[in-house]
Amino acid sequence: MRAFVWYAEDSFLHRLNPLTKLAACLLAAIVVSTAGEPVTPAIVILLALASTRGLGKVPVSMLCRTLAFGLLASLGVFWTYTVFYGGSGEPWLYGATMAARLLAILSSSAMFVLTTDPSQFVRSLIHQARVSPRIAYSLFAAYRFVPLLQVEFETIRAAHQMRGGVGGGGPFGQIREIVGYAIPLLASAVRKGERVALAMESRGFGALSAQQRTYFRVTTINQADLWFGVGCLLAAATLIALRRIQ
Amino acid sequence: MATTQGSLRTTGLDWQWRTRDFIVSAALAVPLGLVWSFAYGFVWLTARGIQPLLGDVFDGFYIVGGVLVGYVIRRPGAALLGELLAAAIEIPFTGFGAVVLWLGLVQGLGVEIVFLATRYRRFDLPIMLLAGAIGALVAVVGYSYPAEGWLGLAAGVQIVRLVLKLVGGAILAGLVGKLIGDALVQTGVLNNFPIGRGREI
Amino acid sequence: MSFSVPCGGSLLVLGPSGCGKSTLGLCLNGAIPHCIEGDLAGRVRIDGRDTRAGSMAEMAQRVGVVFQDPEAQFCMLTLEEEVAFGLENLAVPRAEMDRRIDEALAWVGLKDRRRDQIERLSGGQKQRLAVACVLAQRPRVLVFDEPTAQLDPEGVAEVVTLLEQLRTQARHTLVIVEHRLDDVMPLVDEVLVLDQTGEMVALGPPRQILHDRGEWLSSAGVWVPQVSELATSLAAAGLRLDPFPLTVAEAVIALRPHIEQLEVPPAQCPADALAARRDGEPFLRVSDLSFRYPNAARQTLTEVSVTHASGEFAAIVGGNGAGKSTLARHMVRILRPPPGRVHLQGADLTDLNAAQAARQIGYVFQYPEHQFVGRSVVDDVAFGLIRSGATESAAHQTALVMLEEFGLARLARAHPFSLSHGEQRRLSVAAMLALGQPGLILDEPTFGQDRRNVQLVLAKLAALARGGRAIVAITHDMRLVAEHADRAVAMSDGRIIFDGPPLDLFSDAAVLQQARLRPPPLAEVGQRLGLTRRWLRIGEVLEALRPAAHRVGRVAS
Repeated sequence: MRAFVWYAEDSFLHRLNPLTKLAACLLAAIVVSTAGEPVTPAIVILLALASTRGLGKVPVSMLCRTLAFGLLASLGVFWTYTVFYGGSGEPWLYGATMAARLLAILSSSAMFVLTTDPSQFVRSLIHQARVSPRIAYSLFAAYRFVPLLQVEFETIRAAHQMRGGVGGGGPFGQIREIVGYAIPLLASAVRKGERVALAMESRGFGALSAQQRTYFRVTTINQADLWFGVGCLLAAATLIALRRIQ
Repeated sequence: MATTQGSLRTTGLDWQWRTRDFIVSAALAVPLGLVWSFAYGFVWLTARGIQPLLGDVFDGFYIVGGVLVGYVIRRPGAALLGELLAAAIEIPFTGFGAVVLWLGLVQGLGVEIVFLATRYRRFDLPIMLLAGAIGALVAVVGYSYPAEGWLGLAAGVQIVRLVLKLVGGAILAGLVGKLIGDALVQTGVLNNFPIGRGREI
Repeated sequence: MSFSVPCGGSLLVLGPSGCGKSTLGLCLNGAIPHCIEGDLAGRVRIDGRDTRAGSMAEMAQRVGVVFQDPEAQFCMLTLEEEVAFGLENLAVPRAEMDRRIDEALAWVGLKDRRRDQIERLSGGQKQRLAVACVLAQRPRVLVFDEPTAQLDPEGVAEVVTLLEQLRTQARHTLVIVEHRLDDVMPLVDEVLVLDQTGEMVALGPPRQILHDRGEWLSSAGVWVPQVSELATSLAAAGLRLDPFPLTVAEAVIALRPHIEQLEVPPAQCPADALAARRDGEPFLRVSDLSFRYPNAARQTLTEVSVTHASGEFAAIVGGNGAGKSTLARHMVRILRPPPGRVHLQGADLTDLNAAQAARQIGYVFQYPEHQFVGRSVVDDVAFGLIRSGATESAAHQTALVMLEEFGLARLARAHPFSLSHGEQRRLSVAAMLALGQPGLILDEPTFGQDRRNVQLVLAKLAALARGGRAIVAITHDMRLVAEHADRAVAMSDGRIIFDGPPLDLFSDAAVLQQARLRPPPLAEVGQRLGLTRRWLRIGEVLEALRPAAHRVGRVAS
């Protein structure tokens, strides 16, 4: 059963408001996307990994596991972009820049994912981002559906295979098989969704506006968020300035 | 919302979002956002790792969430919501993290624009294909160029990749989305939604 | 329709499938008209106030509904968040929430699991949580819409206990829609009966309703308590039980005066019948099979040996987690057994490929929707045939014949998902049998079905067994085992603890307890009356009491 990738722990990063971390990811993405050399992204990678390990207390093994695919993808990016380079500079430098950029974006994203409780994320959307509870709570419901639908998917797959499978082998057969599973799974999802919606409304959901209803758990912005934000901005400014100097 | 006279079974446009529209959008987004990656993402992600161009066509799958939700709910914002939900749902389960939110946003906007252009009245095959393609296009403009550095690639390669992405979006999102939506309508589970309205139950 | 329920009273709503019981529940809690479109004429008043007035938030504080699907009532991830959700919707101040959450969870016995993830709960626990969520909003009226329909026997027991507690406290007014009446009858003051069109047909005390309408209800496909069914049949044979029994205890009291006149029916001893059929290689043989799921804390199966013969209807029973489904999956190759442990018609299962195995033994899943592959009913049945080489037209012909047999011919073009539960169940069995496999395993074939459908399906299976096929049913339904199975295999903790005729199973208290099984009401009545030979079928009781009926006529107690 697939569980959340999030690593539960009590650390500085864990206690930050999720939107602050999200903003940091966005900042990182902007900084590396405007950089034309691999050094800036490389530094961002280091910063992201170090802070996840240091400020977030995430074990190195978890970091590696999360970024494994990213590493693979960036290797692919490296050699593809090198080969297909169409500009006037060094092809391998371009490939390295792009690969590093991808890794930088993924590393900062990983920082977010590994240190953020999904429920807290949804709450920050409600309280800080002013997302309507009707949307946010459907996200909660979605997280609830995940293990259910996973089990259903496995059962449907077993059932279809028992009946002899729909596909016929090869990639197209596989695709037809997926579509074969998709319909019962999605139909089941819709049914469950309707029932959950009815149950939620029967308990008064949606009757009161977002301001009128109360909240069991809230997320806040506090000093730590401000410090973290300032720190990120400083780092970004430094990197951009260094680039100018180069 | 209380009604005691007559039936609310409208055949015209029904703009008001019900709770079930939100929840079912999320319910649809879960398998679409996750099952692909659980079951088969492994395969083509590895392929991407070796040769990213292969992935360009398959990237269309990521847009099917927005297309399907937009097709089923048929109201303003549905496609965008579907994409954002699919992205948000993916976050805690995959290693890609927060970047998917941006992708969801740009892809969703693309699909939404197409449905908006038809005033949410047309949902036939050409529009669906277009929706998938435009979703991919906006993603290319909003993500691939700025963040994936397409500008540095040879012009020919850029064109090839763009075409692959557009085709992937049109087929894997537009066409597949419509097929799935139609199949679901046949099952009868969507009778309470705009896509299923007007059918005899 | 018009009816009223006094404060603190409890009403049971009965009726055939599709008659509108759930819709009635939704009218009571205000979901109709606040959340659901339609035409509503007339008035629903809770505590004097019309449901149309005010908002759903207000209604939630007057009427709470517990729905039937334990998997589809919650939107949050932990128990306390879920209970809090209801409080948030009502704008309960944050300071008050903790106390109310504790209160509600304590009431249903889940207080120590407050911080746990909901997905870790069992079905019964989830339904208890649903009750807690509703109670936290402090309504005066509670509506239960088939709360036990999707639960295993343990879960059913948990929910029934809760209902009993609610009833004794009499602080809430209860409206219950339920099929499993054997347990629920004592809790009910009044019964409301609806017919197929949703019209009110009868309203009155349970005893009177079941006495007057028992036959009508049964023929309409509605389950009635087994002892009441018995009493109705006895009455038809001329022997009236007074008072008309609703529970096992009452039946025991009513029947005691007659048991002196009992004759033991000279039926053929089932064990002999079984031995006769077991000559030669059994259809399916499992030898010393052990299995453990990866990452499982304990062995799921330990040295399981069992055989199934052709022409036999066997039932595998046991509590949750006993290993029944795991065993069945090994029999049909969903899980691969080690070589030499499972033999199908003499051949080692591991030597067969999936297609060959599928031609010999079919598997009907618990939820029919999981196994449908066709876009239409007839396509689904024809699917297996086409896969094994038949032409499309030939396959369709055969499929249509199967559909006729199962009463589904008029639905041939419909999408399988649009069928009712009962029709889906029949379709799933038909589709699996289309290939003419000599063996069939069914996972909970009577789960969530109404009476009419259960009888149809079981009659069909019994006929197939008599015709020479090997039928194996994994089930929690003890009536199925009592009335139709030739043989019962009881499992507990991954081991087989009993293998023999159902009659012996229901007489063995130790086995029943270890396997966490409850005998059907009829058998329980027999046991309490001190009979050495348990009753399995109503027909047996009729036979046994026939002399008494002839002799006495009407009995005054």
